[in-house]
Order: sequence, then C-alpha cells, then structure tokens
Amino acid sequence: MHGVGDRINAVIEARRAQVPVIEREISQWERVLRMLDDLAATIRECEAAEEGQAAADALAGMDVAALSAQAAGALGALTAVRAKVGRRTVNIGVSGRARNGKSTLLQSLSGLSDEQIPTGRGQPVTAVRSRIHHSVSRADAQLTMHSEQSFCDEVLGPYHAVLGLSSGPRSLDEFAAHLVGDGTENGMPDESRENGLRGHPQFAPMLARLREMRESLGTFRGHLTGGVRQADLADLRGWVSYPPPDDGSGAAPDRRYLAVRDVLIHCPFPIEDVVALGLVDLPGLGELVPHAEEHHLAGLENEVDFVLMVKRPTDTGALWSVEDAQALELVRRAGGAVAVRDFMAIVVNTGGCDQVNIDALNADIDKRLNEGVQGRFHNVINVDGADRAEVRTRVLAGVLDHLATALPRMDAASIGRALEVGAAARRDVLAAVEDALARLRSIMTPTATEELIARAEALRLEVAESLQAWVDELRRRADEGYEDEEFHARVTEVADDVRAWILDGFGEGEEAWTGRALGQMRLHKSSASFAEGALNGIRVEVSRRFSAIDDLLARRRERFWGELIDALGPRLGRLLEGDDPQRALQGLAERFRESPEPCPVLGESLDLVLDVRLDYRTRVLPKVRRALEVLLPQSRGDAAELAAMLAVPRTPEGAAELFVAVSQLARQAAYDAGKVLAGEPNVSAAVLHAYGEQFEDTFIRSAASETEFRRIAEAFRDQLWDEHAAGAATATARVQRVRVALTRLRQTLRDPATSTQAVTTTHGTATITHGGTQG
Amino acid sequence: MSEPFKAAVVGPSRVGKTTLLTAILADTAELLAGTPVSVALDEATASRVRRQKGHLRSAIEAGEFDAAALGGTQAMSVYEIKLQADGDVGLEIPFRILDYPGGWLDPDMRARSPEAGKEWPSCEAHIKDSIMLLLPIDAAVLMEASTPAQRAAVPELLGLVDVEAVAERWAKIRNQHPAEPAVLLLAPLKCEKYFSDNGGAGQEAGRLRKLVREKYKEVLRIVAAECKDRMVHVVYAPIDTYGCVELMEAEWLRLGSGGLDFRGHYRFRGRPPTISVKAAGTIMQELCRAILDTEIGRTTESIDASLSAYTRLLERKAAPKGGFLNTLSYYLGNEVWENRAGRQRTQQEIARAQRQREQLREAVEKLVASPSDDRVEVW
Repeated sequence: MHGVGDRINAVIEARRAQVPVIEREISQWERVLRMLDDLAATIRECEAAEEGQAAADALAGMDVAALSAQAAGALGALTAVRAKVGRRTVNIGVSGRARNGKSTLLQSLSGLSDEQIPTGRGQPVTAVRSRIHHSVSRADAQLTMHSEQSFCDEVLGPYHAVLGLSSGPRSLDEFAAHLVGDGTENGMPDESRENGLRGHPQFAPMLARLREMRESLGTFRGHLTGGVRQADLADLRGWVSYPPPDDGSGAAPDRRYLAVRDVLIHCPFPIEDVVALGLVDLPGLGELVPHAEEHHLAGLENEVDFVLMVKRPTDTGALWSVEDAQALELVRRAGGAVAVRDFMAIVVNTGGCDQVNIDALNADIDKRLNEGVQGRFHNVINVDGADRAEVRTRVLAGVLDHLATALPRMDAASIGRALEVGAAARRDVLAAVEDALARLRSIMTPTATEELIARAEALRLEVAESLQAWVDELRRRADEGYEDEEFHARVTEVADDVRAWILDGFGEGEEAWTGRALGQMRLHKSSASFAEGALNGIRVEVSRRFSAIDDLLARRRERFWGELIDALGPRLGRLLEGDDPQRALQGLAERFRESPEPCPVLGESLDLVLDVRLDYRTRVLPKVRRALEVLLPQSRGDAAELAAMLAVPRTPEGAAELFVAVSQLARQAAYDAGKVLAGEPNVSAAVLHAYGEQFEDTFIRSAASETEFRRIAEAFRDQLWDEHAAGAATATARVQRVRVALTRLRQTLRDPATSTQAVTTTHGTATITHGGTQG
Repeated sequence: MSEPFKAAVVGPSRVGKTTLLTAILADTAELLAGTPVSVALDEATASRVRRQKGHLRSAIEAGEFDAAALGGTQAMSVYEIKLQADGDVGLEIPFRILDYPGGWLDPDMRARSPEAGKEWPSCEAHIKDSIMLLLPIDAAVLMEASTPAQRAAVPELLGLVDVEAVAERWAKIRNQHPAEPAVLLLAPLKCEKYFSDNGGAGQEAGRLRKLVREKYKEVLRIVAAECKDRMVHVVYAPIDTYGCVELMEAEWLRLGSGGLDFRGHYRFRGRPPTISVKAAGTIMQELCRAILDTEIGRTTESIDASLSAYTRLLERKAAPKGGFLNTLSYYLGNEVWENRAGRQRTQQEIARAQRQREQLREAVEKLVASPSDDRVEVW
C-alpha cells in the first residue's frame, strides 16, 4: 500500500483548497434564502394592506416558496459538498443491516476489538456507533456526551413525535415524572394513544425503548453533562453497548450508552501507510428507532466518501432482498452525481457461511444488480469479515487504492452537481426576480417632489370639498325661505320686552308719566318741549333695549368660526390649537405667516373671516335708527303734523292724550325696529355667506393657493401626516420596499465574487473556476 | 233701468273695499269739483258708505282705530255709482261694481254655499261684461311680512289663487271683445305708512311696487297670455283710503290650519286726524278713460259701424240690450235722452237736455284729463 497514503493525502489537500470557494457559495445561498424570506414577508405585508395591493398584484405570479425551496436545494447540495471537501480524512462508511457482521468488519478494518466495537450473537450489542480514525500515535476515545436538554430534544423528542404522543418532555424531570405506559393515573396524557400502540409492529418496540430509558434513567442521567470525556479504549464497551440480558437481580440495566452522543476513536489501523483515513459505523437500517432512514442517508451524504455495504449470505438471507435494495437506493441517492461503482462496494461477508449461500448471493447480485456481468455496476468483495488479514488486503487496500484514483473525479462530480443545482436555482430565481422587477416598473411610484405635490393637492382637495359644503350650508341659511327660529324667538323676546316697557308707561307707569307730563307742560307752558324730550328718551331706550340681540349675534359669529374650523377638514385641523375658535384661527393664520416658507395669502384669508362684524352696532343699529325716526320729529317730512299731534292742552286730558300719542309712536317705532331685526337673520346669514364664500375663494382658488398649500404640506408634514404612512405614500413605500428586496436579491445572485461556473479536474484534483456576472 | 258700465272687484275680505268705495267717491267728487256733474250712489251703496263713515267717525272720536271693526264679509256686494249731470233731465253715466268672493269660481265652493249658487250666474255675467278688473291689495300684508313664515302666508292672505282664477276668466272674455276696453287695476290699499306724500314719512314706495310686481307677476302673465289679440291697460295705483291712519303694529296670528293670519293695528295721524284720500280717484278716472277712449276709437275707426248701430238703436227706440258698445252709444249718444223724452218735448227742453249732455261729456273729459296722481303708474 505504499504510495496510496500520499496520493490520498494529496487528494485531501486538493479538495480542502475548494473549501473557501464552496463556503462563499454557501454563504451566498444563505443570504439568498434570507432575502427570499424577507421578500416573502414583504409580499405578505403588501397583500395584507390595502395600499400594498398594487405591489402584491404585480408579484402575484411569483412563487417565493418554490424559489426558496430551490435555493434550499442548492444550499443543501453545497453543504454536503462542503462536508466532503472540508474533511481531513477520507471516510469509509460501513453500512448493513443488523446481524450481517458489520461490527466484525469494522473490527477487522480498524484493528479494534470487542471492547470497542462489541459484537455478539443473539441480540444486537452495538448501541452507539463510532467514528474511527486511523492514527499511528493515538489509541483513545473521545466521548461527546448529551446534555439533559440535548437528550430530551434529540433522543426523547423524536420518539414522542414518531409515536404520536404529546410533545416531548421539556426536561428530564418531566420525563421521569411522566410514567410512560405503567398504567398510573398521574402523568398519562397519552394513555389512550399508548394503549393503541400495544402490539404495533413498528411502534410497540419504540415504546418499549422509551420505558427502558425511563427505567434506567438513574444509570445514565449523571453522565448527561454535555461535555467531552476521554475514555480508554479498554473501557469503551460499557459506553457503547447495550446491557447484557436481565440478570434477574432486579436492578435497572446500565444504559450509559444513552448519555453518549458521539464517539470518536483514534487508533492505529492495521496498515502501514500514514493515511488520513476514517471509518464510520453508519446508522443501521431496519432498526426500530425513529427516523432511521433519514439518519442513514444524512450519514451517507455528509460523512463518507465510500460505502462498504455488508451482506451476510445466510440460509434466510442468501438473496438480494427488498430491504437490501432499499438500502442500496439510499446509497445511490447519497452518491448523487458520483458513479455508484466509484462510491460503494458490496462486501459479502462469507465468514461462517455455507458456500452455497455465498454463491447464491453472488449470483443473485450479478443477476439483479450487474445485469449478469460481474462487477458491471457494483463491485462485490467476498471476504470473511473476521479474517483481519484478508479484510486488510482484499477490502481496505483495494478500497484505498480505488479512492486514491477515483476521489478526484468523485469530488469533481459532486462539486459539479452541487454547482449545477446552484446555477439552475440562480437562473430560476434571477428570472423570477427580473420578471417581478419588470412588473413593478409598470407601477408608477412618485418621486419625493411628486409625493409632496400629491399630498398638497390632496389636502387642498379635502379642504375644498368640506369648505364647499360649509359655504353651501351658509348659502342655505341666507336663503329667503330659511326659518331661523332661534333668531326669531330671540327677536320676539326682545321686542316683547320693549313693548311691555312702553305699555307700562315707559317704565314708570302711565299715571306717573302723565303726572310728570302735566307738571312739565304747565312749567314750560307748552307740551312741545316735554313731548320732544320724551320722544328722545324713548328713542334712546328702545335702541338700547334692542341691543340685547347682541348676545345672539355674538353666538352666531362664534358658530361661524367653529364651523369654519370643522370645514378646514380633519387634516388641516391638526394645525389648530385650543378650544376657542377665534384664537385657534388666529393661531393658524399666525402659523401660516410664520412658516419657513410663508403663506401670506392663506393667512390673510383667515384674517378676513376673523374680522367679520355681526354686532348690533355695526349690523343692526343703522336700520333700527331709521325705524326710530318716527320718534324724531325734526327729521320727518310731516314735522308740522307731528307737532300738532303732540300739541295737547295743558290739562290732565291733554296729558293723557299725549301719552296715547307718544306711546303709539313708540309702539310703532318698536314694532318697526323689531321688523328690522326679524329680517336680520337673512342679512346676517347673507353677510356670513359672503365672508365664507370670499374665504373659500381666496383659500382655494386664489392664484397663490396652490403654491401655499405645497408650502404647508412641506412645512407641517410631520403634523399633517404623522401616521406611519398613508395612502399613496404608503403604496409608494411598499412598492419601494419590494423593489429594494428584489434588487438586493438580484445583486446578490449576480455577485461575480461568488458566482461559480464550472468545475474542472486538473491532475486528478477538482478545481472550481469563477465566472463573470450572469445576466 | 239701463245697463250700467261694469267693473269687477276681486280681493281678500277685510282688505277695505267699502272704504275704497268711500274713497273713490270722495276723490272723484274732488276731481269733478267745479263741474255740474256729481257722483251719486244707489240706496244700498249709500247706506254702506254712510255706515263706514260712521264707524270711522266713532273711531276718530275714540282715538283708536281698529280696521277689523270696519267689517268685511265673504258675501257678494254690488256697488252702484253714477256720474250724474245736475239738472232735471237726469242724464247720467252709471257704473256697477261687483265685489264677490273669488272662491266662488270653484264649483265645489258654490255647491256648498247657497248664496254662491244663487248669485253665480249674475256674477258670471258681470265678469263677462266688466271693462275693468280691480284688484285691491292689502299693502300691509305685503310690506310687513318679514319672516319666511310670514312671507309664506302672504299669497293666502292676498287670495292670490282666487285672484289669478278670476283674472284668467276675465282676460279670456276680454280677449273675445277686442274693441271694448280692458283695464286691470292693481290697487294696494292701506299705503299710508309707506309714502311720504300724504302726511307720512315712509320711504318705501319702491319696495311696495317691487313686491306687487313680484306677487302679481303670475296675474299679469295670465292676463297677457289670455289677451293675445288685444291690449290690456294695466294700472298700478297705491291708494290711501284714509290718509290719516298709519299702521302702528302688526300681529301674525297662528291659525289652527297652521297658516298665519294678519292683523294690523293702526294709529291716527295728526290732531285731529284729517281724512286725506290719495289716488282713489284713479279708479273712476280709468273707468271714464276707458269709456272715452273707446268711444273716440269707435267714432274714428268704425264710424260706419257705429252709425248703423246708432241707426238701429234709433229705429228700435229701446234701452240697450247690453254689451259695452251698446251701453256706450246709449249713454254718450242722444239715445238715452231721446228715449226718455219720447216725442213730446219742447224745443226748450231739447236745448236744455242737449246742454246737460254736453256738460256730462265735458265733465267726463275733464275727469279723464285731470293729471293722474303721482303714485299712479301704467304698467
């Protein structure tokens, strides 16, 4: 075997050179997977939100889950390749069903004994599978122990899952408390399920295993340290073998093997070459443990470069069985792109077997697997697994020689296949991404300026609509037919008050008034001066009393401002402060003027409505004064006639006559003034309508309105649109997020630093070459 | 008794039609002052006018004026007025003014009212022959309505639906007699408060005119539409029937039907209040103008027709059978006198009668020629 070691070591070195490249590829696909996850989440958000519908619709045809699966496939292939090229040893896996002499062959290959790789008749004895590395300098074992948690998660969990029991125990104490299948009331959530498993061909043995674990918990719990412990090879058996059959002592069997997660043995193989060689005891097929097949395949894919599939031709097993075919199929799958002939050999373990069975098996293999031509597809090695010398020469030497030659092409095939898978995935994902980006391009997404303009316009539109409604309402109130009952009631109240005052002898009683009149007439020897003074006084008092309508007019103005605040709309209303409408509007005008880019026209339009005058003095008094002219003799065309009316005899009768004349004039004046007020709602409403209309015109339709609304949108953006995002802006943001996600994904997939195109073999080693950016 | 010239009055009750009649008499008398022609009333009308004057006098005495107390009924009234030449011949121009509730136009209403049923045929005949349709209007109702509810009550209070129906009927018939006069006279009453030309200080003549135009727009439209083949002389004459009474306060009373009724409270102007009728003479003036215009037209434009009609009348030697033109010829021609005097008349009698006839004619011409009141407008 001289020279084989060097060749193999050279292969190992060559393949290790590929590790960084493969890792970059892996890292890229990991990033791609994460990005696809992000993309899926972003699309889900779009689908869930109204504003995201445009983006969601554009991406409706993109099956991100399928792309992720494809990316995961590429990543899986690369991961397997990395496991291969990253190894420091060439690993030979030994596979085979129980009782076929797998452990015996391992002993012969490694030179170890029953103490490390237990064999035995009857019950299987190997409980923990080892990895055995050839070392000329070491002879020891490293035991990697389970922690309690890893034991629960990796050992108990799968049992529970497969058995359909409730979720596995979260802690060992919980496991200990849950007395599985012993019939006690406590801790039997799965009692009925367990009853159903009794006698089940596959699950009943697993359930029995669980019981054994619990029974023997005390024997291994102390070893669940999660650490690594060294063991002498001489003491290894206790850690890796099942306990012997019940000795009848009643003590729980020692199941320390349950605490062992992994065993790595270093020992000198019976070979002369210094070769980095490892043997892997592959998980047994056909064992009644959870996920046996998956574990086996994972071991094949990730841990070994070559498989020896042991088959012992016995009386009952002299033919290539269905189970053997299934096991072989797993090997073929694991080999992937590598020719199965390069990747495996069938070892017919002839030790202790009848020749007739040996021949029958060989014949059957040739017939079924090699199409009648020996060694056509599968190499078959007939050897007595217990014969160490024979094993060394016929098996180990042959396999090493084969690997020294075949490994480079096997590696090239594996890496090439992985990269092909990656390239295909990249192509598909890129195509989908490009397609999605093209679709997104069809969605108009505004620029920041466009967005500002759109917001300003939307704000202006909102305000315009509600102002229009307000002005319409003002117009309705100004209509001749609008019945302002509140106003009329108040006017009637005030007019009644004035009339009552007149009828009450102008507040002093008719008798007192006439008495005073008589006295004054006699004093001045004329009724004229008293009458004139009386009329003047009445005029002033009537006018004063009607000013009581001011409270209502003030309320009207307040209402006008309050309604304007509502009419400015909910969004612009965010800029208003305080409960007092007048102050709020003043503040708003101030803010408009003081904003970084001032809005003087909008400010002035507010000033206009704040200046509306509706008080008695301004609005009503001029008309009331005209109505009161009936009490103003000198201003009338019929002054002489009125003077005659008031020129009464200076007698009690004359005074009474004067009272009638004066009070009738006063009643007429009060009535006319009341009539003026009764018409005032229309006038006030017309005034308010005019102000409202003027405001609306200036605020919405003036030449500066559009510009100043943009300034408002810019200056008060945060206050006006404080929500996370809304409307068009949100839609834009969502499209943008999807676009960014897709663009980053495309960039990652096109990254030339990690884009690998081809693998070639040069001088027997695999070499990966880098390609340029793919389109 | 010969057929008089006819005029129809339609308007709401309590608008002051009797007062208007009194005012017409007073104003016409003033216009005829200095002529040997006077205004005379029949018994019933004179009695009604006397009663009305009595009420007014009592009110002045009491210093309180209550328009409602002056009455108003839903019944039909006929006023007989004539322009009478002084002297023993008894030449005259009689007018019959019929005031009837507009509601009578409604057959259902007539069915419910025995009086309406009974009087309707004569009413219809009267409307048919009326050369003037006089629409008295309560100016206070128009002018004092200041709230929407009050304004909404105005058409009902003015009886506009009835007025429009009567106007339509009248105009339809007038259209069939294009040679006869047709005068539509809109006469707002109780206008004292709104004018400053008759002792008041009102400045609302313009507003009153505007409101009348507005509210009677439909009436004017109907009349114009019905009288496609002829002109209708439309006169607007705001009348002070008292001149010394001015609206002081108005009440708008809620009726059970949900509508509003109007009640004005008036005060007297001046001390003592002096009646000063304004523009009421316009009505008689316009009646006479209609007669005169038509006669001139008839004489100049269809002299042959009138001559033959006259001849026929002479031949028949009978009172007019009715119809405006027959009446016209009868009263303003010689026929009336000739019929009355018969064949046994002396030369002296003939000359006297001829003179009286001329005087009557001159008086009518004078009446017509008198300047119209400044308030009056032809629309």
